[in-house]
Amino acid sequence: MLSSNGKLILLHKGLNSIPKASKYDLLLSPEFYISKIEKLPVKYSFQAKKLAPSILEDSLPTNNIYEYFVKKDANSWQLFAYSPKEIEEFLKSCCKIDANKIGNIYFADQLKDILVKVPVGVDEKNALTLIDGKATIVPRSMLTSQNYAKFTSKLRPKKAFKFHLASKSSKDSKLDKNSIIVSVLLSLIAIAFIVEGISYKKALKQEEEKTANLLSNNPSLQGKMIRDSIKNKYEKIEKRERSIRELLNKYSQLSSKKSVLEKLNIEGNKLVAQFNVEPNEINHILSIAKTINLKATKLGSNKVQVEGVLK
Amino acid sequence: MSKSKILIALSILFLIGSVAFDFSQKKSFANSLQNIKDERTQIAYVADLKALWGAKGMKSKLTRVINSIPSSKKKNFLVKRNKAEIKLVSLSDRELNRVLSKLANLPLEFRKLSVVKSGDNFDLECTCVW
Repeated sequence: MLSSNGKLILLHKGLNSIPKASKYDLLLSPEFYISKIEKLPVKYSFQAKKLAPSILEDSLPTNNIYEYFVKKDANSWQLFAYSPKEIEEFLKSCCKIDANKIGNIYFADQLKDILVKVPVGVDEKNALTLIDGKATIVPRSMLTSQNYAKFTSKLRPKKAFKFHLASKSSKDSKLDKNSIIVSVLLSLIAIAFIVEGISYKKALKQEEEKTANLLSNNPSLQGKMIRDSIKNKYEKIEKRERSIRELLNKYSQLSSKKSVLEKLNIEGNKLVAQFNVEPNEINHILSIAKTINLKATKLGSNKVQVEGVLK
Repeated sequence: MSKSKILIALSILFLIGSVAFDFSQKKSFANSLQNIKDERTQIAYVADLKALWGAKGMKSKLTRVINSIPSSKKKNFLVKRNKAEIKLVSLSDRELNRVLSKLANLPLEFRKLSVVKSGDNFDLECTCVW
C-alpha cells in the first residue's frame, strides 16, 4: 500500500480547473483507462502484470505507451491500463498542472462498493455509476436516482497505484539529472587522466628535444654504433694513459736524494723504473712500493726495480 | 536499459579507457625516459672522452712544452700530423720533472717513454700521438 497524501481529484474529460495544491492524487474516470476482469492461472500480481499487456492490447489504441496495474478481485484479476502521456497532456491543457505533481492514482472501478449503492456526481450534468459491473460516466438525466454522493477525499480507495510519468519533466528525468551529474563527474575524472597521459607524452617530447639538442652539438655522435665505436676507442686510451700518469706519480713518491731514478721505460703493458738506492734505504723503498701497490724487486745491493701494470 | 544507465555505463567505460591510457602512457614514459637518459649520459660521456683525447691544437701545446727546454738539450723534436718524436738530453732532475709533468698533463698517448740517467743528468726519449 502506498501513502496517499496528495489532494484527491476525480479526473474526467469535463474537468476544467483544479484547486491549487502542491501534490495531487488522481482518481481516474473510465475515460482515462481500460480495465478488464480475467481469470488468470497465476498466483502473484507480478505474473498477472506480465500478462496484462497481451490481454488488453486489443482494447488499446496502438499509438500510445501504457502502464499496467493489476488488482486481485476474489478469484479473478482486475487489469488496468492507462496512458501516462494522455493524462499528463490533459492535466496540462485543462489545468496547467505539471505531471511532477501527480503522486498516486486510483481507478474509478475501485469505487464499486460505493457505486453499487449510489452514483457519484462528476459534475452538474454527469455522474459515475456502475453499468454491467463496470464504473461508467453517464449523464445524470439517464439515472433514476436523484441522490448522488459528493466526490470528496473520503472516497479515496484503499489501494493506491504510483503514477508513472511519461513526459521529460518526469521523475525519470530527475534521475537523468543525477545520472548526468554522475556521468559529468566521471567524465571529468576521465579527462583528468587523459590530460595526465598527454602530459607524459609532452614530458617525453621535452626529454627527446634535450637529447636532440645534445646531438646537434655533437653531430658525429648521432648513431649508437658510432658512439660505441668511439667510446671503445677512447676508453682504451683513457685507461692506459691514466694508468701511465698514475704510475709516474707513484714513482715520483719513491724518488728522493737517497733513491735516484736510473731508468724508466714502457715495456709492453708495464711501466718499469729502476732506482739507485742507498743500501740502508732499500727496505724503506720496498715498503713504500708495497704500500702503493707496486711490484718492487731488489736488484743487487743498491738497486730496486719497480713495475706497474698498464691497464 | 534506461538512457541514464547507458549514460553512466558509457562514462564508466570512458573512465576505464582513460585510466588505461594514462597507465600505458605512464609505463611507456618511465621506460622511454630511462632509455633517453641512458642515451644522453652515453652521448655526454663519449663527447667528453672525444673532447679530451681527440683535442685539437696539440702540436702548438707540445711545442710550447718542448721550447721551455734550452735548444742545446733538444736532440730531436719531430711532429708529423698527430705524432711527435721527442729526444731531450742532459736534463737536470728539475727539468725532467717539469717536462714529464707537463707532458702528462696533455692528453697524449705515449707510445714510447724512456728515461735514462746519464751521469748527473737524464735523457728523455718519447713518442706520442693524439
